[in-house]
Amino acid sequence: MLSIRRKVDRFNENGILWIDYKDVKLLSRFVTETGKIIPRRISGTCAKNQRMLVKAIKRARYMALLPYVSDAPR
Amino acid sequence: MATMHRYEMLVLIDASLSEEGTESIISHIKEMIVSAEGGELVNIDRWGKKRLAYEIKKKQFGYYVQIEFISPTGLPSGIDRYCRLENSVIRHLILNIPERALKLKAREEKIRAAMGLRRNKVDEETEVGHVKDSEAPITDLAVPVNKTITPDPPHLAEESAEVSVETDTKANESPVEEIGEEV
Repeated sequence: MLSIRRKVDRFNENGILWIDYKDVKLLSRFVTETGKIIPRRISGTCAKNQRMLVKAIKRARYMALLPYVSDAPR
Repeated sequence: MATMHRYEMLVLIDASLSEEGTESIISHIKEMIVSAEGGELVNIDRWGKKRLAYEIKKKQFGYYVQIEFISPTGLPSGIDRYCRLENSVIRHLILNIPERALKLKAREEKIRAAMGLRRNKVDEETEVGHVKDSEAPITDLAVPVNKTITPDPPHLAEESAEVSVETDTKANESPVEEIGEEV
């Protein structure tokens, strides 16, 4: 049931080595509709990249590039 | 001799501020960089007026400016102080760009070039052209999904075109679906 596919780190897959907080398009893929960060148990991101990702997302949030919460998607 | 570092800064200025006001803030920061000993302005990128992901001080829009510079270590704290005192600067973020980041970015490009760049190049070109034609007029009506999550900055869209093209296919499959499974 839990397929091996789940363990695919999409950053490694796509050769992304540096996760930039300004890349909103990329970051928004790792955030739920309500703005929560998708845990790596679900996204499959490796620990190293998840750490980098989280930092980037939080920076983006501070700069109002990403929402902290968005209950009602506009 | 002071050690030089490379910094990257993003400033969010109140969009309701007049053009001159905005410019004066930007030029003031520029001035600070240039007048510092060994300070050098590497790049300045005006993203322009963008919708904020959330309201700040009742404001929905902000003017983003990205500045890259090289300076001695003391300067960023000075700029930081200035930004905090300047009321029209809503948010600012100054980051040291570590050597590592630059190396990684360079390597990233190589790797990505090695990974079927050709196919993506084509995709990219067609897609970029496509988006520009169709998205501009329709923005308000269609494309609701993208809009809801983050107001996509047109500038960013361009910058990250390559990334997004590649991630697109994968991204569509994984996270959302799997959440569904989980629940």
